[in-house]
Amino acid sequence: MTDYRPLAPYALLTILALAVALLGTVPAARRSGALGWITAIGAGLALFISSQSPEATPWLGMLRLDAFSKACNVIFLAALAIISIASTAEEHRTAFAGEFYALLTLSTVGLMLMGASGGLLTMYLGLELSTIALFALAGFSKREKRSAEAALKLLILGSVASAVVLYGASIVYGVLGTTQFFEMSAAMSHPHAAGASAALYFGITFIVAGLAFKVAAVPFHLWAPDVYEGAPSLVTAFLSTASKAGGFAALLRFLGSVQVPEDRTISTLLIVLSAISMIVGNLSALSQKNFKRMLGYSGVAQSGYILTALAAGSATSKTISSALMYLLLYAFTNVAAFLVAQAIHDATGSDQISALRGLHRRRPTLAFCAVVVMFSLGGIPPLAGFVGKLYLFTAAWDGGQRCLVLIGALTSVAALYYYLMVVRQIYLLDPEDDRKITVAPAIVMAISLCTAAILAIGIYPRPFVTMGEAAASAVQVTSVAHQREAAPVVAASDVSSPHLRP
Amino acid sequence: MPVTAPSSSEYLPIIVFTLVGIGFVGATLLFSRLIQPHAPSKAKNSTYECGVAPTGNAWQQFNPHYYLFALLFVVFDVEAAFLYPWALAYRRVGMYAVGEMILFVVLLGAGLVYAWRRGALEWE
Repeated sequence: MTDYRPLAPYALLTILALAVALLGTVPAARRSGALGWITAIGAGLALFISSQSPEATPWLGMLRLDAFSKACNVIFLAALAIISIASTAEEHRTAFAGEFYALLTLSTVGLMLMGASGGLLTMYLGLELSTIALFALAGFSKREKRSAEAALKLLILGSVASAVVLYGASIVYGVLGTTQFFEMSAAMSHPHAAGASAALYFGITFIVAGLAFKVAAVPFHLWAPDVYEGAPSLVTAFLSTASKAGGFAALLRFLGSVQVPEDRTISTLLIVLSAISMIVGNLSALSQKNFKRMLGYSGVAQSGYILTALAAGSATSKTISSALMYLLLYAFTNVAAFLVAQAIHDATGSDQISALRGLHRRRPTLAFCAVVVMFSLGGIPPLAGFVGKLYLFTAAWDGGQRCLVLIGALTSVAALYYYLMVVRQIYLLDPEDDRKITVAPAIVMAISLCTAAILAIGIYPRPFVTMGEAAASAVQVTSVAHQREAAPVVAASDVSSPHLRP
Repeated sequence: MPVTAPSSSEYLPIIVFTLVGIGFVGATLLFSRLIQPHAPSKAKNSTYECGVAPTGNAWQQFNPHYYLFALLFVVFDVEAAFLYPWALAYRRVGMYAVGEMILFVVLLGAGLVYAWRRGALEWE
């Protein structure tokens, strides 16, 4: 009998999504702003259950609920909870608040499935669930033309990307005869297997390309600035953090547990993706006037930073732990950045960087938080961004990717320029309009939570590093252990399978 | 399990099937075109040969409520399609199947309640 207890967080969130959608049809519940709090509490509860639940691999290993999936759940659920809290400020403006939280929660369930995937099918299912919900969310302010445009762009390009993943998966299945990650490693290491054939690399390249779309790495980034700019800021906050983390979770799970023999091809692919993401992302961000668009390009560059570690060898424990830690701190940082954008938009009706002008006079606490966020994105100690970047670049350096680290360091300097331009607007320039601006308490609370997290991770990163290391060993242990387990099965099939000819 | 790359001869039946499939459709259409008598009439050319006589043009705006009703219909359609084989098989599968089906019906029911609460069933 399968142990279903570790699935409780997934079931809880699905029920939560249905309940919130139904509650949203009750006008009284909608008016009170309670839906967001219900979602946030549900996310917190799911996080607690997830951290307490035993490890399991239900359904023939389709799902792998281990330390890695738990670490991913922390990222996704933290983003969901904080964005839900911030969204309570907007709840009275729409008649569809219930649907908003329901879609957000369902998208999170999809991301959690990606992090817990034990094979290509579960990974694809999670990818679809999370992306389809995001299509609707990106177009949530449907009366705004830009929001509709963002939704359409995400729909068309997202569908193409998921078709690309599926195509790659079909080729990998055709070559290896399995969709389970740990069986794939065994099949490749088998002496009579087709092994590292060109077709296999072709398939893996397609899967990586489709996931590179999800994480917005160059050259699959073109949707990101447009969608980030057009979609409602609260949705963009989710799209640029949790959704990106989901893409990386799938990449880490896939490349970490499937050990391709002599994987020069795959690492070359990742090196190129990483280098051009850092260069194109940072240089494009330099000239942006729109705050959300600038953050979009900055997010492309941040994906490049994380890819440096992946390029250094996706199965090493340093890569997985540093990438997970960076994704966690990046979730807090970027959610806060987009919430600042939301607050400024509510107050001034503008998304331009110039709208931040003189914020320190108009709203000192918000200005302080915004500056902490910008410094963290720029990687200035003692904030979380610095620690995270240090771990990432150390992992890349130790893995022999010194050239990438150099590109990363140089482009980080360029990045510092545009982050500091925002700080200049906030602190050094005087506002044209000296009046105080009002920011909804829920948004202030959410931004404060994020700022506290940024400071906490920056000053005391130890627990998060430990969590990442546990996750890394979970991915590796399963791959190594199953290789050993699977080996005799493969040997036996030598005799029974007519397809195998030595 | 590892599989060696299939040789091209293993795809031969697929190619033959494809060609036979295309040939069969083409031959059938061509043959019926050759031997059929050609005698059109007004009744034969109408949209429905029997039933209500169509009025007006189909290229016009429809009330979007039709779309919601069609969606809700599909919900029940699929439910019925799943319930029927379940009803035949559940004695052998046991309580597990009952639980699964209850879950399925509750999920669809939640969808229906949602649509109803959102006013999808009201005709304005």
